[in-house]
Amino acid sequence: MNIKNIFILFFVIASNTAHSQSTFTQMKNYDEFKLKLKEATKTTNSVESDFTQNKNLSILAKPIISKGKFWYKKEKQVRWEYTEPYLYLIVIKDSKLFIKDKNNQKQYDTQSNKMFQQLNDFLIGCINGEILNNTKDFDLTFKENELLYYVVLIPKVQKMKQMLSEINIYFDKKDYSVSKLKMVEQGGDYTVIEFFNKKLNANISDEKFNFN
Amino acid sequence: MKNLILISIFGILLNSCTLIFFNSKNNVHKVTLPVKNINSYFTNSDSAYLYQTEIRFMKNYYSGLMVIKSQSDSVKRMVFITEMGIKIFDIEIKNPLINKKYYTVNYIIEPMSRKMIVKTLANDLGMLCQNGNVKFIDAYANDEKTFLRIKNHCKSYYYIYGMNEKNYNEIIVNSMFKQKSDINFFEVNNFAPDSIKLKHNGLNLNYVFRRIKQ
Repeated sequence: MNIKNIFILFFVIASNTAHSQSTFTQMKNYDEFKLKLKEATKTTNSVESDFTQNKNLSILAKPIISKGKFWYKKEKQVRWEYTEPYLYLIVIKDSKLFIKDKNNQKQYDTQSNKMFQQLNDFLIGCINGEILNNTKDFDLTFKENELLYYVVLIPKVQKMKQMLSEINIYFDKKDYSVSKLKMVEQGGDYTVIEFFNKKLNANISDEKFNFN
Repeated sequence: MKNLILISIFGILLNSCTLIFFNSKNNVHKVTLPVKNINSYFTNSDSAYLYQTEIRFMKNYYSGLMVIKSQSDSVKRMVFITEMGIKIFDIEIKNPLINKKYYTVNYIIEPMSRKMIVKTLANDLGMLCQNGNVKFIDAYANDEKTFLRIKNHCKSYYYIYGMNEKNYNEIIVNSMFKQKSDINFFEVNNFAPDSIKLKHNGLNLNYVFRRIKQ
């Protein structure tokens, strides 16, 4: 299986500051940005936040809105809990992925399933910033305005390109946390995930990442 | 020539046996065909219909949101996305009973892209997208329900109406030899059911749709 079936990921969260819509210009020093991002994620042991997801389809006048909560704990524990429009849960712990909705639950072992292994690596890579070093699978463009850093990832692998034409990640300049993620499909449909009410380095029980 | 006649007679007998079997199973008798066209669902082109959807195929389970949008009188666009917004498929469907080329795939994920899977999917989703242009050929009834039949190639499609109901609440698809699939529609509001269940017989493939109002 290939990188194209990767789900989108979870980041260190945004501040409550509204995002600036002013023009983005070419980032002056992206090596320094990558270094500072790496340093910031080193000191972040856990994250808790709310999120809103807007799915924009060309056939719809309004986006489909989903909401939920997100938890991350070093090294590889993630809980992505949708509460609207209905309950849906994804938990990643070590090398296992667990998905649950009202009527079904299933567990996957990422080590024996290449697709999920790539998903896991991709998720963690975005959390710790390593994704920005993945020039093998993406072409990257670095931009900024007064409030945000903005990285555009263009997939190189053909099969992923069929699914996504680009991924946009917005980082808050104050703390290098991800404030927004945008995934654009071929044909123009896109998904935007925004993060709110962040708590960094709060004490999150390991039970939060149990498969139930 | 002789063989052709024998085959034709055999086909007619088989068809008759199928009807007899269906009538017997449902305890129905033939009635005068009422003046009736299919009442279409999902006809409001000003809005889209959103369903929480589960598709179980063999050991695979896909869940997410199905968006159904009427593009015109005869074309419905159906987009299935995961809860995280990843698109699974995007298909435009016409009525499979009256159109030879009845679907266009705008996008589908690779694991589902095999021709047989796409065709089965389009057939099943197409059954949700009927319109009034299809004509019934005969009708049957028992004490509780009326069954209006369409025949297409070797299959019979029974649209089942409760007594005095305007909308059909079930479709049974029969081949010559057995029931192929069964679709149930529940609680119709504003030109669309609140939930739909589609089940294949003999093939481990089921769909459940639950309407979401946003």
